[in-house]
This record gives sequence, structure tokens and C-alpha cells, in this order.
Amino acid sequence: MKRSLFALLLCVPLLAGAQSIASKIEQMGEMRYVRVAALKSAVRDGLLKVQMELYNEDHGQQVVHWRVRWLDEDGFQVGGDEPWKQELLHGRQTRVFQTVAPSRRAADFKIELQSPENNAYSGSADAYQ
Amino acid sequence: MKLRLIALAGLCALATGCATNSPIVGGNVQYGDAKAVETVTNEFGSTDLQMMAEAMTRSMLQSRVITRAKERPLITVADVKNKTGEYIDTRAITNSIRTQLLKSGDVRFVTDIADMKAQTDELARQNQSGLYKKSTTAKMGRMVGAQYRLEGEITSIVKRTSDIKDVYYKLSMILTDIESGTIEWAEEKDIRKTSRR
Repeated sequence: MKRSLFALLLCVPLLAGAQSIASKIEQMGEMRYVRVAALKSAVRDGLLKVQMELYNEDHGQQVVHWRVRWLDEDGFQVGGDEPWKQELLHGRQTRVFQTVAPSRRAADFKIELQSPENNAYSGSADAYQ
Repeated sequence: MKLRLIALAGLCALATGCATNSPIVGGNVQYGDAKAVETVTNEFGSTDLQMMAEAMTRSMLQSRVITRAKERPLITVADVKNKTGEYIDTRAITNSIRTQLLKSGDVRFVTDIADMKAQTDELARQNQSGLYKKSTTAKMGRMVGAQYRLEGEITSIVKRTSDIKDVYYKLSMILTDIESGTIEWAEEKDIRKTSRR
């Protein structure tokens, strides 16, 4: 009983972390090969800075498209739409992407993320299970 | 009579049937996502321009020139030299950088060399034409000098085989303290684009 309680306590921060990543990511279709391994943000010199770590679980290269939507304290978008960025991940590679808010008004963010080889594009997901 | 009724019905169908409730006029032109990743060819494109401008702006916003400034620094934009083999409107890059920096609210820009003629023409028109009420004219000799000059260059390396074309672009920018001549900020943004036949 004591051991299971200890295991549960260990899981709590992990779950909380997973939830916070999920709440910041807007995936355009669930990605099959690429996953967000880590996500952190901090305010440096008044600017919100974001770092995202992507991991490619596939042996082949994968392409990812991403951009950040910056929001002010009231949830209004700051700075308009960013250009989509296309990034290449080699097989089993982890890449770190950093960006900073376009204005000191940005207090929160969402990351739009899309990988072409995911369920949104390629028909039935069952074929790959 | 029957023929007239059929013709009338036809006219009604034409008048109402062709009309749709869609607010579109014209043919097969479609507006697209201006921020989408453009991969039509591997020449310099809209995505390159947008990514370079964004990278430069975000980097400059984190520089000590801006973060440690007591007042919003005054910047003037000089040229971005195009050292690639293709035509690139480098003014579009600096305009995007200037717009994004101004929108951040952290810097101010003074009239640069390219726009100086329009500025001095307007000042001269207000002060020398005799057309304006004296109390409303912009006074001569009150323009503010910039503290920093933003400039850079874009280069490219192009490699080709029979079936592969690889283009590497690099935009380098610096911010120079005009009084001291010291470079206070520098950044590079590189982009690789590869296409296969």
C-alpha cells in the first residue's frame, strides 16, 4: 500500500507536466512519429521565451511545421500570425527550437504543430497500429 | 401560351438559379494562407523573407541595446546588400523587420536615407511654399539623429547536380552605434532549400 502510494506520488508531477504540454500544443491531427519531448517557458528581460524539444521516433526523416500564437493577459492574440516554419528531423533525432515573444505584452502562448505524415493526412490510423 | 410560360420559367430559373449565397465573384482564383510554407521553387520566397525578418526581430528584441536601454533607442535602417545571384528585394526584409520592431513598442526609427528626400521635401514645402499657417508648420532643424544603424547582407551558395539543386541563404545583420562605431548586436539566419527533379 505504502509502495503504491509512493509510486502514485511520483507520477503526479509527470502527469501535471504532460497536461501542461498538452494544453500548450495545438496539433493539427495527431502526429504519428514526432512527439513533443519537452516544453518550457520563462520570462527573460520582460519577454516570454519558449523552448520546445521535438523527438522523431521514426528511423527516417520527418518534417514538422510549427508556429506560435502569442496571447496577452486577456487572451487576445499579440503580433498577428507568425509564418509557418518547416523543420527537418533526422531519424531518432531530438531537436530544440527556441523562440521569443514579439512584444512584452505577450503573457501566454499556444504552439500550432503539424507533421505531414500523421493521421490527419494519411487516411485510416488502424493500418499503422 | 404554353411556350410563353416555359420561356418565363426559364428566365426565372436563370435569374434565381445562377445566384448563390457565396460572396465570391469571378473564376478559379483562390486566396491562400499568406503565412504558409511556400515550396513552389527553391528561389528566395515569401517564407524565407518572413522567417528571416522574424528571426532578426526576435533576436534584436533580446539584445542589450534594447533590454538595457533607459529610453527606446533610435535606429535608422541602412541597406541589406544582396550578394546572391538572384534578384531579391532586400528592402522588403528591412521593412518587415522595422514594422515588427515598431509593433513591439521597444524601439523608434528615424527617417532613413531611402525616405530622406520625401521627408526634406515635405519640410521644405511646409516652410518655404508660403502656403501654410506658421503655427502649424513642422519646424526646420528639429529632426532627431539616430543612435544606431541597422544594416546587413544576404548571401547564397548554390550547388547543382543533374537532379538536385541545393540553395543555402544566409542573412547577416549588425547594429552599429553611430557615435562610437561599435557593433552592438549581430545576428545570422540561414536557410537551406533542396529540390529534386
